[in-house]
This record gives sequence, C-alpha cells and structure tokens, in this order.
Amino acid sequence: MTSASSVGVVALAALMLLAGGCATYDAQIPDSLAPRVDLAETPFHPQLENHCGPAALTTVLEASGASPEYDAVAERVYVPDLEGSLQVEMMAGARSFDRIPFRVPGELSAVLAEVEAGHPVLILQNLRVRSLPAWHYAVVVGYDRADGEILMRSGTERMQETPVSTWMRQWDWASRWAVVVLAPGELPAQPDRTAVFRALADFDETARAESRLRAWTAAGERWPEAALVHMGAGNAQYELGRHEAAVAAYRRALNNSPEHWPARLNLAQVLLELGRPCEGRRVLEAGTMPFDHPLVETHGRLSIELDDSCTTIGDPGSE
Amino acid sequence: MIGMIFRNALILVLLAAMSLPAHAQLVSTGDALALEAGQLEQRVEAFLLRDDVAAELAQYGISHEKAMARVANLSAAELEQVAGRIGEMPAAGDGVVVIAGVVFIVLIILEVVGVTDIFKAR
Repeated sequence: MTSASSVGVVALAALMLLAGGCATYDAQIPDSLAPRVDLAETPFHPQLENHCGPAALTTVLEASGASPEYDAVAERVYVPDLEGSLQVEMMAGARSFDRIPFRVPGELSAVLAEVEAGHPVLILQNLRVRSLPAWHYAVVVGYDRADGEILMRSGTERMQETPVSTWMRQWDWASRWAVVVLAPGELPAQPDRTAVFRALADFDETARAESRLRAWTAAGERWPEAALVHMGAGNAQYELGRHEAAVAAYRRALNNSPEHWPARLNLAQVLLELGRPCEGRRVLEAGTMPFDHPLVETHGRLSIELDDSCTTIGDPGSE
Repeated sequence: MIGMIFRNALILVLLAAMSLPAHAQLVSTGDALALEAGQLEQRVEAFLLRDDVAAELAQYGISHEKAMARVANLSAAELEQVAGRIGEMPAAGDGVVVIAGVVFIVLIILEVVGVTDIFKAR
C-alpha cells in the first residue's frame, strides 16, 4: 500500500468514526420542556478581541438585574497575558457584583430547564478539538426543539443558532461547565442542594450581610430541614447586629441537627455576647463533642469564657 | 491520636493566623461545609495559598495590587483549584476561531488514530 493510499484509508476511517463519534452527541431537546424558548430581552455585549469572558459575564449580570460597567467586569476577570478569562474568576467576578453564580449539572436538560425558567446560562465551549482547544464563553438564551437548535449570545453575534449535536460536542469538550448567575434570594430552576450550599458558602466569604441573609432565607424555604441554611441565616443576622434573630436561627439549626457543632458553638458565642453566659454554657453542655473534633479548641476556649462570665454574674436560670 | 490532636492544634493556629474580619469568633458556613466533608484542614491551607495565587496571576500582565484584590474574591475551594495551575487552566478569550478545513481534518485524524482521546467522550 502506498503511503498516499494509507493516508486515504486513515482519512476515510476518520470520517466514518467522526460520523459515529458525532452520533454520541446526537442529543435531543427533552419533550418535557416548552417547544421553543427565546429570552429575547437578554442584553447583548459584542465582545472585543479576546473579551468573551467580560462580555458573557456582563450579559448574565445584567439579565439578573445588576448594572455593571463593562470595564469594571473586565478589570475583574480578564487576564491580559492569557488573552482570556479563568472560570474561577468568572465565578468570583459575579459575586463581586452582589450576584450568586450557581453551577448547573452537566446535562443538556438541566441547562435548558434553567433557560425555560428565564435564566440565561453562561457556558464554556471548546470550539476546536481537545488536543488543540479554543476556549470560548457564550450565553445560552433559548432553544428550538423543532429545528434542533440552541440559541446563544456569542462573540460578536447577537443571535447564534447552533445545531444541538454540535453544541453538545463543544460543551462536552469543555467539561460541561455551565453557570446561572442570580440575585440573592433566587435559586436555580432545578436546585441541587450540594451545588447551592457550595455557592452560598462561597458567597458568604465576601458578600454583604443583607444579601447573604436573603440567599440563606431562600435556601431555608427550599430545604427547611437542613441545619446549614439556618446557620447561614444566623451568621448574617449576627453581622447585621440582630443577635436575637441569630439565636433563633441557630436554635432552628440545632433542632434539625443536634450534632451540628458549628451552629452550637455560634449559638453559645452569641449568647455570651448577649450577656447570657449561663444559657450559653447549658447550650454547650447539651452536646458531647468528640475529643478529636477539629473545633475542639474553639469549644474549649468558649467553655472557659462562658464559665468565667457565668460565675461572675451568677446563673439566674439555676436554682 | 497525638498526631490528630497536634493537627487540630495546627488548624487552630492557622485559623488564628488568618486575618479575618471582626467577627472571626463565629464559625463560617464554609468551615461547616468543609467540616462535614472532613476537609477543614485543606480549607485552612487553601486560604494560605492566596499570596501564591496572586503572585502567579501577576505574572500574566496584572499589577500585584490588582492581583491581590482579585484573589481576595476567590473562595478557598477556588484558590485550591487554580493554585500553581493558572497557565494550564482554560482561559477563554477568542470566540472567532479561524482554522483551515484541512488542518481541522488532520486534527480529527490525529485524534482518531489515538494521539488524543476525543471519542472517549461519554
């Protein structure tokens, strides 16, 4: 066999495999969703060179009701010498505009369910192949089941219509990264508890207390049986100076999960600050912390402080 | 056992060493999540990566001051994810991909004959 013909064979095999490979991405738009959605009011920011990150992030921020300056977004997420934007900074950038980025599960149905609920979805795509990737951020704003197309704000195109199989490949080759950016107090259409808790805990690290309270309150309505949602609300209430509300929230957390030491320690701490150290001491004594618990030192320090204060003022609650 | 006590003491020292806001005495929700996952130690260590990540970011055309401000917005989990790897992470920028058809076919062939693994996609 000549080398020319062997190249031909390889090319033919490649094309056949390509056809087979593409079949893997022959995804269907689920029948459970509306036949067509177009979030036409989603703003559009045609990207400048290499600026798909800031453009896409500005788009989803505005769609969530924020009004960021494009340049301020670029200042937070564009990395000049990488000629692009990193995923973690896209998340952090959203948070710095008082919005919460939630990861969407890596399924087409999950992405389109968000779109159907009115949430444009920020996605990462690989427009080339895995060995030589071309990364790109775009915003999914709709789909059309009859035409089998995904509608996006992308690059310099206000309306890009991509066949769903191509879209799936480009998304899959970028590890199926998808994010909705929402105002505090809103949750994704199909909220995944783990993803929401992760997003809110990350939001807690830098966000304003009012926004954090709104976010945890919404999560508390969705998962009232969880301890973390009440603890998160308690921490925000405390920071807003509403110590009594914080105490009530921590008690709700402990009612759900008596073993939740973060909530128990925070409750005792706030009671100490409220001048009720003996009550705080009883809260700590109501649980038995394992000696190898990572928070054992915090527990010890707080116990001593509560003991000292309680002894000083006397325990009005004891006989 | 002693080692575990020592490790927990170390976590406490590290927690105390971090410059936290005024209400440091409350346990954060991030700490609570990390605790549930048995990863409080990694979380504490991740915060210590902040300076390293800022220095790394500053190598890519961002002033040190701005890099510090930017990494301050990254969560512990995000710091851990990018530390030492910024150059390898996807940094999406160019939406307009100019690639010749022949080059694309060659790439597809390369991937098919096993140089890379595109068809292992689920």
